[in-house]
Amino acid sequence: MTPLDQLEADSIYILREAFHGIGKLCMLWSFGKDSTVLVHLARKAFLGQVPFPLVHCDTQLEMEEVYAFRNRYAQEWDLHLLTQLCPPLEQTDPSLPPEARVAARKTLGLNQALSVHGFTGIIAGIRRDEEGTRAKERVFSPRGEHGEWNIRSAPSEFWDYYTPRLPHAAHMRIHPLLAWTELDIWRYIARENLPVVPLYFAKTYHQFEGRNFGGKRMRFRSLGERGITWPVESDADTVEAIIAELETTRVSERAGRPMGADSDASSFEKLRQAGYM
Amino acid sequence: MSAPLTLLLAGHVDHGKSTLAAALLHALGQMPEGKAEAIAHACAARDTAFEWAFALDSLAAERAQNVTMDAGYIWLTTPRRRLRIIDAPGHQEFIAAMMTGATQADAALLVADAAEGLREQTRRHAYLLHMLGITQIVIAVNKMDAVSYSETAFQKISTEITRHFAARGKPPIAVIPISAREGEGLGATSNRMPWYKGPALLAALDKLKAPPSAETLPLRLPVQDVYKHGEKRVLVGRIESGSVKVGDEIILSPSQEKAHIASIETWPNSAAAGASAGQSIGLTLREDAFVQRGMVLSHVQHPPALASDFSAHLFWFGQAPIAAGASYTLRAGTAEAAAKALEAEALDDMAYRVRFQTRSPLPLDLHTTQPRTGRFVIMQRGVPVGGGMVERIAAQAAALPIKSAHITPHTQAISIEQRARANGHLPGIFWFSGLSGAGKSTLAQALQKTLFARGAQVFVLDGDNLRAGLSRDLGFSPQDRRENLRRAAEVAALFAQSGFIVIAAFISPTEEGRLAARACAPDWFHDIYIRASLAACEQRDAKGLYALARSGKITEFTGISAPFEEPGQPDLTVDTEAQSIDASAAQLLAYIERCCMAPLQEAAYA
Repeated sequence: MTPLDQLEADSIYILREAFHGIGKLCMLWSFGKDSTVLVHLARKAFLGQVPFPLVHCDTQLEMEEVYAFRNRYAQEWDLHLLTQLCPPLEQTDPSLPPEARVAARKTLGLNQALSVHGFTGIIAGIRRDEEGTRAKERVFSPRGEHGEWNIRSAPSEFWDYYTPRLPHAAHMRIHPLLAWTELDIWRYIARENLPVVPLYFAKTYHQFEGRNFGGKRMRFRSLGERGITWPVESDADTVEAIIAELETTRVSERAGRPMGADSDASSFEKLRQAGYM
Repeated sequence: MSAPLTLLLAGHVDHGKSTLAAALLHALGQMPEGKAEAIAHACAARDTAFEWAFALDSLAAERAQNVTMDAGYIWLTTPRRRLRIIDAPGHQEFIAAMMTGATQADAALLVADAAEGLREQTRRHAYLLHMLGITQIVIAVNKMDAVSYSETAFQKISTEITRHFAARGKPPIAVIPISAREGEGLGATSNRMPWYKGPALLAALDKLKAPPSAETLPLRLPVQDVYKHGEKRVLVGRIESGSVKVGDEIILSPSQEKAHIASIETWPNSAAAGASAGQSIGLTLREDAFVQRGMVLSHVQHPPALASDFSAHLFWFGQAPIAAGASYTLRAGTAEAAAKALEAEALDDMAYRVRFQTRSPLPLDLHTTQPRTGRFVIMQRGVPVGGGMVERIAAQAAALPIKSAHITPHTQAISIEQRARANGHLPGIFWFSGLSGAGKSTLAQALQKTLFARGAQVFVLDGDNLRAGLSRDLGFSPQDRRENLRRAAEVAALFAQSGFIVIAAFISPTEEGRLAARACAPDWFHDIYIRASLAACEQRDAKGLYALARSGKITEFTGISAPFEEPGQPDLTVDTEAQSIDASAAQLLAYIERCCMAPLQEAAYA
């Protein structure tokens, strides 16, 4: 077994545990590289047919290419896609930095999806290597009445015994990709020949969303909303070139998505405590 | 590159685990760009000195108290392999989070402060790692800068640690002096410690071996679920050990049903010919076997033990100490079982040796031979609070002496044998016949109480509860009395099929009626004559019925105006005229125990 085989098998195990143990399940699909790998794993786990809906929390600020990707593959892969419009910026916590407030709209959208559809489990494609607070996550991670995360109440996870239902949890977050790294994701995309949004590949950027990039070669490491997500310098214009780049880079994956991190990294923790992925 | 390895950073609080993890990233040039600046910024905001540990202690609460609260993960790439490092909390309060990390690890790096040596959590972590079977341990004696890189200080601690580990039978792989904060002894041997001749830390970590593959062990596939996929029923699960291929004969535990693998289902490619340890698969069986989550699929030659009495070494963070006699819920693989602690020996306030008895047999292995299927977790209030490594499994129960299967309709998914093992006794119908007033109901109720108190599934059927509903349409004519008995016997047979000990108290005046009742469930039926003479019964006349019968106010009363045929060859005669009710109850209890309880105990020790 290769390391990728093992990651794949364990993620499928987690998805099947979630499907067995949780009554009303959904999966978040942002059309980024991670959640697309997640959808592929779900198709493998359930032999081609994903037995729960996919939820897109739509800020209506996604990039054109992202919507095009959604429209194509939701149909091609025969997925049950629910689109949840996110409430406006005014309803978010005003104490957050402006970039984080845009992200907080996703949390509000997610909370609406929860109350409309009554989901008791949400599968999300976060990874431990992305960010410090995600590094401390559990595979099955309970959320409170308003979607909030309280790490002190997270149950123990000995070996791979997960706890899909907890008496005091309003819903459960399930994180099948927690053990994967960014490099694993791209190696898997290459191995399984999965499609990705073309924004991940380097091209020449002059103007983008009102910013001047002066004709540099750039690509998106991570996809987010327009206006808070930017390309980073890169020459990688194929999946293989991205893998080669990631084997040596020290640039953080979220370098193009500051979220006000330069003020204090804890704004991301605040977002996550309030229920952000 | 070798296979990736998961390494646990363990040790006492404040001995520098998080700092070491960050220092390793830095030494390898793999600290993300801007991270050092971000840490400097966060430290300045808190008005503290630069703190490498903030690279891992990402939570505001952790930074505020400068202590790791939950296990964090980072990835390192050494020249030889990828290392996934779990930075576990060292404070006793977060020991469950430490074990959440430890149970994921292949090897451990135990950090000890050069000035403090072995402390309480160092010892505890060493003990728990030993319990988990993690034998590859490297010791880093950290903060050598605080003892002026002194060889004497290092030797003292090194000797103490090596002795401590050797006493448990497995010395550490290496004991290495370092200073994480100063970056000494990590990537290259330190020129501040020329007296040290061993490897630098990263070189020692590169010598750790990946865990052995479970592929060569006997097959274990715990069933996770059964999916209906078109016309097929697909069993899904992850192969914990061994391998399987199409055509193999397999056995399901604990049902012991055998079947053959018809196909291995994969998507998007069409079926595979075989699969092995680690893979999550789907498969179909050639036969129409009953399969559900919790069963373990293995090859016929090497099935897991069916454990209902086993001992384990376990860690425990539950609210009260583990006590003999208390009940717990265990999860082993995908199976779940209620278990009672028969004996519990506390080794520490967090470690025990416990002998468990489960209500139903659990497919298990010994942890030493099959680690992944030789362990379990213990649940309390729906949350995992402990885990165990199986050390001993009592001899497997032999087949139960169930004489024939013809009373079990094949539509029942649970066999009489399974129910008997779950209940701890065989079913039985103890049919008390005898005159009114002989003591049938009194004895039946006394026995029911005693048996119930012993955990048996027991129920009394008598004229009162039957005629209140099921036989409400019947009177007391000979035909109606015969029909009432027929219904009673059929109900008793159903109760017996569901595993119950049934005590049926009916006058049953005719031999023909008693024989008909026996025919409903011949394997379980016991004809018991509760004997007392008519004169004695009439004298007792607790309900005043004999008086009414003598005066003709009740007609067709057995013994007075209707005949009673004494049983010709009862299985047991209980003479309530010759002995007291207590003595009669004791005689019956001994008989029921011999019929229903003893065969299971004998099978367990066979």
